[in-house]
Amino acid sequence: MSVVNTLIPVTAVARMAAAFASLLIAFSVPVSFAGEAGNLPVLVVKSPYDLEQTVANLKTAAEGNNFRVIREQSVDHGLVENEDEDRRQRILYFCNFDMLHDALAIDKRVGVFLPCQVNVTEREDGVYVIAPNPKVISALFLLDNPELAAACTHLQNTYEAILEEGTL
Amino acid sequence: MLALVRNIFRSALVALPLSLNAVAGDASTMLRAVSSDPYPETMTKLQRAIEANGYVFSRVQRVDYGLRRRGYDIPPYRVVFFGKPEEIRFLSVAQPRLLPFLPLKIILYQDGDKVVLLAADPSRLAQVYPGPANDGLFQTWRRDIQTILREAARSE
Repeated sequence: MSVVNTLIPVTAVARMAAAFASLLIAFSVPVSFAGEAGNLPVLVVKSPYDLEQTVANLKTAAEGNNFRVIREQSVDHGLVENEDEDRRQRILYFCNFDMLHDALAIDKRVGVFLPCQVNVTEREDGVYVIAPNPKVISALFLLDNPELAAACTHLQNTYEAILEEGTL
Repeated sequence: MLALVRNIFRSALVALPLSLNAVAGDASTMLRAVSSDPYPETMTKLQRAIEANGYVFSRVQRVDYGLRRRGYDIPPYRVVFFGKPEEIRFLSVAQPRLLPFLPLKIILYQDGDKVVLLAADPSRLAQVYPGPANDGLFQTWRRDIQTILREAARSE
């Protein structure tokens, strides 16, 4: 193989790597999630299990908290061909239809945050579970409806229980 | 990938005031449009608008269908998911805290003889995820969603 033929792919890879690194620097916030609290619109827990076991545990936990699991998919499902989906990024959707009906009766806008979901992401340092933080999201987006506050507190408690039970 | 980054930084550098016109903000937390067309036609126009603006239409969650199966009577209420696959893959690695907000969503619900199209205003996320790169991303999403809503609500 000629020197030119080996140099060109190496140079291209080096350019891509540099571009990717600069993007990560530009966009990154520290990705160590442990110990995050309060003001972020997401709840984050690191799982001691692999991705498949974590997903299975979360399904059990959701059902144990009176939610029905309605769907599991990759985060890019429907956006790429099935065989190209990134199975390391999963979404688990679940629903309590009675709670849903009550929430929509209070404020039809809650639909923009439906269905209830948890994301399971496999990273280099392990598997993380990431869920919306209903109280922060409600304060951020639905601030003019205090009736939702109690429902969001209940939902947040439920999310926390599901995350805890799913990663015990 | 580089085109994606260029687009995002361009938005950060030129954060122009956005004209809302037919697309109203709801105390600046929601983006909203109203269509006078029937629900199925509005849904079709929404899917076309999503694709016309460079996004991929993923799927529809039929909230009304699930509730009706449980015995609740509810007019049409659905969630449309869409996104850009390369953007989602990038953010999955670089900004996993944004995963709960992906893919992007627009809801359509029947309200009397009108159809309401609604999305959370992504620019609100800048309050909890600050920074120029994030600002550019959220403003791009906001601008694109406003355009999509406007096109979907436009009567033919």
